[in-house]
Amino acid sequence: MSEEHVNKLLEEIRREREEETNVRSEPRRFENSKDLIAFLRKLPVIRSIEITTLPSFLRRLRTGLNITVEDASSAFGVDARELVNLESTGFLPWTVSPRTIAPILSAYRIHIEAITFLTRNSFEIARVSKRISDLDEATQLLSTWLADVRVEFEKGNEVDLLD
Amino acid sequence: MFGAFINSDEFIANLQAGVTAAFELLWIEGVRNVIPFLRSAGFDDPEDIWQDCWLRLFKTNCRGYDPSKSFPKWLLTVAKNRGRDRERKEKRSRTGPVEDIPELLFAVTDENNSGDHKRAALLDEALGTLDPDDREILRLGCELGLKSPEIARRLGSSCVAIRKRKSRLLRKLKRQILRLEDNERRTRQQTTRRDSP
Repeated sequence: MSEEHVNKLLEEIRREREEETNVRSEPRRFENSKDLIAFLRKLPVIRSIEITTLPSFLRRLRTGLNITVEDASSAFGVDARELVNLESTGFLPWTVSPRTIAPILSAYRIHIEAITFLTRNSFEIARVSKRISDLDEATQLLSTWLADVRVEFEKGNEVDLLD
Repeated sequence: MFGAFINSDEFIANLQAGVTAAFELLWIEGVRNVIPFLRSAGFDDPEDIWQDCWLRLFKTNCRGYDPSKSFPKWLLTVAKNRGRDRERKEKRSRTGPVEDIPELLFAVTDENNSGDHKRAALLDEALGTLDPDDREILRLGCELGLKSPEIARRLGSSCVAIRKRKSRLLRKLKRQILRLEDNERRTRQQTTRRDSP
């Protein structure tokens, strides 16, 4: 792989970007947390998703909807720093309490199968990047965590996210 | 710089046979080379893009790679396309209506159904080979279910042109998936032959 090839690719990216106008819109405004939750609950249930990890998905979903960290954290009843942490690239979803994350996942209308898929992707990344010291223990934790998220959905009567 | 092994037949064969150790090496090479490349190209979140890229390659066993070409060059192009795709989706969702959420995608999520999952991965891989504009037409038509006149209106094109392009694209996609399936079958047969006494 020559330097010339790399430079050619970099030039291609620059050119492609120049051809597009950079449009950015203002964050979506909500009167209060109730409004934000009501807005999210109108979204269709998300079942089919891209191959990515859970934190990356959550971050891009929120930014795609133009919702600020502050508004989201206040609506979900979590600290803004905690939400940023949940959305950060290296975060391991099964290390956060299902009680904390289930309301966020249900507010975004993410189906349990999609959550399973995304969490397993996070697990693969954690495994290959050697961030899991005990693989068996982590596998067990992951299964328990997913089962607990399901229980939280059942408690919240989130039938649409479970069928 | 990429390790010399990365273009070796053995390494590529191991990737295409789904050998875990090969994917671990690929991860390390990506961290050393792809992430800095994405960073120098100005992408906001190079680590995240590489993660998604690696996951796709892992799930599809790099079947989209043509062994007659340079592997590092292909890898950087795949990463670049992934980054550009994400940028475009993010831009669209900032300006578009609610249903334009960034993750309306094709992959099937049923982990228990490996057949469905493999097909989804193949489709994903085939989509990765298309031109970004073509992917956008398919996204609007197949994912959001928009009719040709609506796609034409959104993309500033004529309805006839979109209709023709969509039908050509679906044929192309089908051919590409069949090619990937063939590659997979061949790799499986080679592995079986190699492993048999």
